[in-house]
Order: sequence, then C-alpha cells, then structure tokens
Amino acid sequence: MSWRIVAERNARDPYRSRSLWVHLGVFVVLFGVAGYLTSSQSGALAGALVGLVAFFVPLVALAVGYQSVAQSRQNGGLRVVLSYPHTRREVVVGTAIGRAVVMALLVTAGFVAAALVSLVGGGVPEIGPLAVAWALGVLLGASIVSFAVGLSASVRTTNRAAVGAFGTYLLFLGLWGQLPGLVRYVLNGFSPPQGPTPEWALVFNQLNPITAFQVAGRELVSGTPLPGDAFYTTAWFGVLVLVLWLAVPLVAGMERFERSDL
Amino acid sequence: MTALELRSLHKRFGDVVALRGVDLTVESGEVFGFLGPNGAGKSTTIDIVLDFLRPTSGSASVFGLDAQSEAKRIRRRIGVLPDGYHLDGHLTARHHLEFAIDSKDADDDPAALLDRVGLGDVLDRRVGGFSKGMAQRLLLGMALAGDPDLLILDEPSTGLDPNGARRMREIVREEADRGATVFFSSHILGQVEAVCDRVGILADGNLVAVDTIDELQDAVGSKATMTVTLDGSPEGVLAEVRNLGGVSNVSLDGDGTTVSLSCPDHRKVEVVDALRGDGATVLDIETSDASLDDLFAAYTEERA
Repeated sequence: MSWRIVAERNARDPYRSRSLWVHLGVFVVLFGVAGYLTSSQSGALAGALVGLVAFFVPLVALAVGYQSVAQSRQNGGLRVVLSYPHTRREVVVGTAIGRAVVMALLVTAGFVAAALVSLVGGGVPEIGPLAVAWALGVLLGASIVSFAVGLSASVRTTNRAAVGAFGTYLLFLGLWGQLPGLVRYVLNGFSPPQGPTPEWALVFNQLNPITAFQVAGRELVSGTPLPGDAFYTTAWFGVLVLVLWLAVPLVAGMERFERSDL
Repeated sequence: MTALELRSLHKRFGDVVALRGVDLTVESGEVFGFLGPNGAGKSTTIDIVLDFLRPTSGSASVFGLDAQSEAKRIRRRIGVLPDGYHLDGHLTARHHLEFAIDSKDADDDPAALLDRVGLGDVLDRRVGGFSKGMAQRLLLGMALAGDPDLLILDEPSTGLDPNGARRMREIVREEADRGATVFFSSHILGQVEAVCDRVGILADGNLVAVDTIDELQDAVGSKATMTVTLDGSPEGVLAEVRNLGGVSNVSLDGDGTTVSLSCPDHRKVEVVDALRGDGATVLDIETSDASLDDLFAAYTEERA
C-alpha cells in the first residue's frame, strides 16, 4: 500500500526531528497547566481544553503540515520518493495521513497530561466529555493538517507555503468574521450596511473551522448549544464543516500537484 | 524488446527550449550511456521518463508503458538514481533501504544491498552525516532493490571517489549480466566508455549522435594524443606502431626518444607495449583525453 509507506515515512521523519519534541513539550505543559488550574472545579476541564485546542491546535497543525510537500519538492526529497512505485496522489494523501497521525499523537499527549495533572491536583476528570473533546480536537488537528498539506502541494516553494500558512492562521483567527461585513459594505455602495445580518453571512461565519470546532464543542462537550434552531448552529454542521476542511483543500492541492512539473 | 523509447520529445520552460525533438530507442539488455555537457538536456530527458516533468510534445515510454499515464507501473520495474535528490537526514540508511524495498514489494536484505555498494557498517547511521559520495552509494543500493529490469542513473559518478566509481562500473556490469538494461547519463566521456554498449550524445537539446563506443572513439581518435618518453630510441618499432589500428600522426620528438601520436583510448596499452617491444623502458607517459568538446566538434563537423 503506497500511501501507507509514504505516511509512515512522513510520520517517522518529524518523530526524529527536534521541532516535534518542542511541540510535544509545549502541548504537555499547556494542557498540564489547564489541568492544574481546573482541578478544583469539577467538570471544568473538558470545556477549558476545548478553548485551548481552538486556539493552539490550528497553529501547530499548520506548522506540522505547511512545509511537507513543498519542502520535499524544493529540496529534491520528492525525487527520491517518486522514483519508487507511488503516484503523486498517493504521495499527497500519504503525507497528509502521516502528518495527521503526528498531530493526533500531540493532541492525545496533551489530553493525557491534562487529565493526569488534574488527577494529581485532586480533581476528578470527567471521562465522557473529555473523550468527546479529544475526538473533536483530533478532528480539528487532522482538518488543518490536511488543509496545510493541500496548500503545500499546490505551491512550488516553502516560502510561499509559509506565507499561505501564516495568512490562513490570521484568517481563521480573526479576519474570517470580518469578511461578510466587508462584502456587505462593498455591496452597499461602500457605505455601512443597514438592517439585520443576512443569513448567508451567518452561515459563512460557521464555515470557519475554528468556529465549527467551538460550536461542536459547546454542544457536545459543555452541553450548552448555541441558541436558535438554524441548521448551521448545530454540532453536526460543525463536524461536517471540519470534514469538508479535511477533504476539499487536500483534493484541490492534489489535483494541482498532479498536473504540474516538479 | 524495447526498454526505453523517446519519440520527438520536446520540452520548453517558458522561453527556454530544453529539448528540441529527441528520438531514441534503447533495447532491452543494453548498457546505454547518455552523454552531454551540463545544460544539454540530459536531466530534463530523464525527468520526463520518470514523470517528474511533462513533455511539451512528444512521448516517452518504458517497456511500452507511457511515462505519463503509467508512471506507477513503470516505477515498479525500474531502479533510479535521480539527480538533485535529497535524503531525509533524520532517517538512517536502513530506513531508506527499507523504504525502497517496501515500495518495490521486494525482499532484499538491507545489509546486503549496502554491502554491494561498498558502504559496509553504516546501516544504522543517520544519513544526515553522510558525504555526497556515501549518499550516492546509498541511493544506488536503494535503486538495486527488487532487481529492476531497467536502471536509470543520472550522473551516478558525481561525488564518488575512484573506488566508488569503480564499484559503480562493476555494479553496472553485474546488472547488465543479470539481464537488466542500464541507462545512465554523464558529462564525462571516460565514465561511460568503459561500460557502455552504445552512447548517445545530447547537445543543446538535440541528440547529435547515437553510436557504439568503438565508432565513437574512431570518430574522435584523431583528437586524443599521447606522448611517450623512453630511455632509448624507438625507431626500430615505429613501423609496427604505425600499423596499429586507429594510430596516426606518429612523430619522434626531442632527442629522438620521445614519441607523440594520436590514437583511440582503447589502443593506448597496445601502443605502449609495442614501443617497449625491443626492450626500451618507458620513462613517462602523457595523455590528453579526447574531451566531450572534441567529441561534439567531431560529430558536428561530420554533420555540417
């Protein structure tokens, strides 16, 4: 199985590199601190970890993925891999899976550290919500890693991939919510729009993977779903959005990669 | 059976034309040397065969399989030493060899492959600390995994010391004896003439010649000169030397003990033996090899 061999190679290489240990250390410390701070409040850990994951996992996932294909294309590593019986698509998919596994291990290490610290501090970690938060965290990590690998496959150099990854982080973290307002401003003849926010703008807001993760976390982990009964405020819409982020950019990047000169 | 076939292969990068219609057929079991100066288009040609690059027009096929649409099936049957490669420094030689073996679905022993390329006991060392020559040997070992039907070696001697270069030639011969086809590129004539059945010469995106090594050497023989200094006069054997095939421009210099002549490389030993025929001792031999430039000159003059 080609994608498996490539995935293994990708999971293994960062395993031996220094940056991975730095990531791992930061995960364990940050999640451990969250476990420590919430150990006196029962039932607070899972919710706290959802907040931590939303902020921190996308950043690390972009870092884990953005160089993958572009760097190997730039330095010639790809010329070795593609000298063996693997297709370009298999290489991209295998890379995404390998890096997603690394990301999942980081998230898992963080959750284990948080739970252990919480236990030692006298808290009682709530297993059910923690497990759901963990699963959502792994899904968010996999989505962003997959996006980053797709981005990496569609550009020629690591510099461009870095610019793309940094821009993406800014977009996800803040600019996303401003885009509908900007579009409405332009549509309104460059003057501030009046009236209630249209539904398309509300839907667009929920398409941000971080928002999607937070919405799903609120409902499935903390049990406090968003008010209203619109389909796009449900946890399952959030999960669907994450799955789309996992698949669509990867396929787009893969097709571009497939058609280009290396 | 045809191992490799290029048909009217063109490749343009923006304004730069790299290949201007290359036609070439390499038969199964041949050892084929692909010669040309840097920038002639050798790597571009090989990259198209490996589907790293897509041709602007024309086609490349390996064992009848199209290089673009059936790349994976081709890669199952070939062993590649690519140019401009990068090895993952964090991984060991064993990891790299296992990647090659697993990818090929082969059952080679990593240690045995490493041994074949003369890299002894570095199996579990990270390749980050490898020299260029060691990396080159490792890649050759990887390429040998699964007994490929066709070996494609892009500038295989780069960075190799004389021992490494000799091992490389031995392996090329061993693989050819096993029945494999070998296609390798070089910009140095000396590296291909020792092992190749046929040679193709690429210059500025055109294949200017495809010939056996003997015909090639005959074509450029007049350009290779040798000067031999003896401890006595060789006049008694000069006639014999002049009669050797391919030898020309024989002249006696200095105080009558120095002979200069032109001859193809593979005649040099016979020439020296003949000069020593009546007991003279050879004090010094100087040779100037036919360079690729001479080779191109010979072929382009012939064509003009």
